Amino acid sequence: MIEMEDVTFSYPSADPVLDGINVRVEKGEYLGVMGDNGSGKTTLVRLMTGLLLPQKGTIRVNGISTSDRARLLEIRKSAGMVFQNPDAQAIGETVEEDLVFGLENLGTPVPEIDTRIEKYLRLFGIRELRYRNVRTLSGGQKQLVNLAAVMVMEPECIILDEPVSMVDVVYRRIILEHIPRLNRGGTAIVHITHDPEELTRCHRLIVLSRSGIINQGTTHEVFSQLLDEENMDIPVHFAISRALGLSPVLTTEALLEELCRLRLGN
Amino acid sequence: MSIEIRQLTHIYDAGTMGEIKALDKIDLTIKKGNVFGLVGGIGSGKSTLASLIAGLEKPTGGRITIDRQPPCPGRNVGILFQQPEDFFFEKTLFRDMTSGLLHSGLAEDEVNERINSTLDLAGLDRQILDQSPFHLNRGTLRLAAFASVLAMRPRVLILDEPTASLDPMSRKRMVEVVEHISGDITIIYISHRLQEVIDVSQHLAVLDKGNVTFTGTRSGYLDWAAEQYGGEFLPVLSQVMYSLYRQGFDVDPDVTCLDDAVEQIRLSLEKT
Ligand SMILES: Nc1ncnc2c1ncn2[C@@H]1O[C@H](COP(=O)(O)OP(=O)(O)OP(=O)(O)O)[C@@H](O)[C@H]1O
Ligand SMILES: Nc1ncnc2c1ncn2[C@@H]1O[C@H](COP(=O)(O)OP(=O)(O)OP(=O)(O)O)[C@@H](O)[C@H]1O
Ligand SMILES: [Mg+2]
Ligand SMILES: [Mg+2]
Repeated sequence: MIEMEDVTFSYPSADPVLDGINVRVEKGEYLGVMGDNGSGKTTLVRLMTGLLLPQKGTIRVNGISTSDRARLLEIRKSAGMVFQNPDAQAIGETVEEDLVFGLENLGTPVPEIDTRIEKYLRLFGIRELRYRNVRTLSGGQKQLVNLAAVMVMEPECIILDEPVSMVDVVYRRIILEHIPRLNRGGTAIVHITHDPEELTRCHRLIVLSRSGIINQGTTHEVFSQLLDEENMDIPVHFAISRALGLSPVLTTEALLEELCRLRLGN
Repeated sequence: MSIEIRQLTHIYDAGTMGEIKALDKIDLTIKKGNVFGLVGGIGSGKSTLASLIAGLEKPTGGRITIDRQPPCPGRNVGILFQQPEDFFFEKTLFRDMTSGLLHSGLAEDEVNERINSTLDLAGLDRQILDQSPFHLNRGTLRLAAFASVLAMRPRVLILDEPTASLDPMSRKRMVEVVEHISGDITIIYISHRLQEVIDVSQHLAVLDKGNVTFTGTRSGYLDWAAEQYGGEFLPVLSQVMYSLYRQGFDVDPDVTCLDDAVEQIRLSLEKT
């Protein structure tokens, strides 16, 4: 889906943020990205969507190079991004306009536009925000609208830059359950966060630092390796099961099951 | 400084078709030298309350006093906005961080000293001062905003989602700083990260659609949250411990530290 080969990028008059990086996102894959502040996560996904161009190396989305500016629209259609700063994303005045805009650009027929908007507003429980001005929404409401605005276009790949950093536990659960569902339906996902609890459903994780990719592998592999790192967090269930010498689990149900089995064994 | 909030109501676009009642006659007392945790769903009124306490907006009803005085932004109260981008507009971070302080009549030496010491507290390098705020990654921008507010030495400090976008190390540091300074000043700590708010606060309040649905101590909060909405408003660790407790494991559901939790589970397994 996305191929980054030997990519080097620096902002004007600064040292490279990314230096010789290789990242692949397969079709239908769910990739998690973690890493320190300033390690280049946002830069990485700006490159993936062609918002920035690398000084060296190539980036292809569905086989189209991001430097092929004539085909930028095709890239934007297949890879939609939810921005880290929610105010940087809104295009329309009202929530409805914001959602309509992308669909109109895709040439979606009008009745279909309405059905889809209704579907996503309902899914995220934000129907009452439909006619609100996006600028006056609360922080969490803005994030939900931004998520809906990307998901409504149903792109092949969705890139999420800290999508639920300002969302309460209830909406967080709704979204974190919806992302894997989308993924099972074939959508590739790139999900950046500082909170490992969000990444338990990923296929694969990469960890960035200022010196490049310092860790990558399956979700279990990476969390296992981060277990002893003081400056990294891992999911609570994973930490408990490992500390008890159990095979690692990622949900309360699985942990309870393991512990009840142990208790019976005793 | 203690804060008294009485019958506070705030309605956006009052009198129009689209009016929104963000706060509905709320009463709260926030004691001096405490960290007061404020939690609640999206759109429940937390940031609205924050900007009223900070004196950035006038409430449509009721009143707020800080040690019997009305709130005065920059004088008795400082705020770290939920979105750090809202903080900056100058060409360099240096100009942004110093202009307010210089404007308030402080000498240049004093301003520089304050800024250097709060940058240290936030874990930021001084070189960052030459950079444009618009070129910073978001986590660093938030830390810079934190350093800016601290440099104003407010007596009441409002932190609205202070650790969103921070990596684990910066988050720990921020929480340590908050704990360190809280004896002298009153801090209002708004966050969706339940474990963090519970760890850092002595008292908490829950807002729900503009109403206060809970106020009390942190252990009071855990007991309250365990009974609401199937425990969804408990931190993840407490959810695990409550589930085990309900399944007959001999563990204390109120434990908030991972190592203690593991130890309790281990002991309870040995007992059976
Ligand atoms: N527009 C820009 N101009 C110049 N430098 C920039 C710009 N945007 C980012 N940088 C710098 O590039 C580096 C990487 O930034 P980036 O935003 O990619 O980090 P990040 O990993 O997303 O951080 P965070 O976790 O804080 O969001 C940082 O040192 C940042 O200051
Ligand atoms: N300037 C404004 N004009 C109109 N309505 C507003 C304005 N600011 C906030 N609101 C509305 O007031 C209500 C409370 O918003 P507020 O920002 O205080 O919520 P919050 O608890 O901080 O939410 P979050 O956790 O998402 O940040 C929401 O319904 C919001 O949409
Ligand atoms: Mg970023
Ligand atoms: Mg808010």
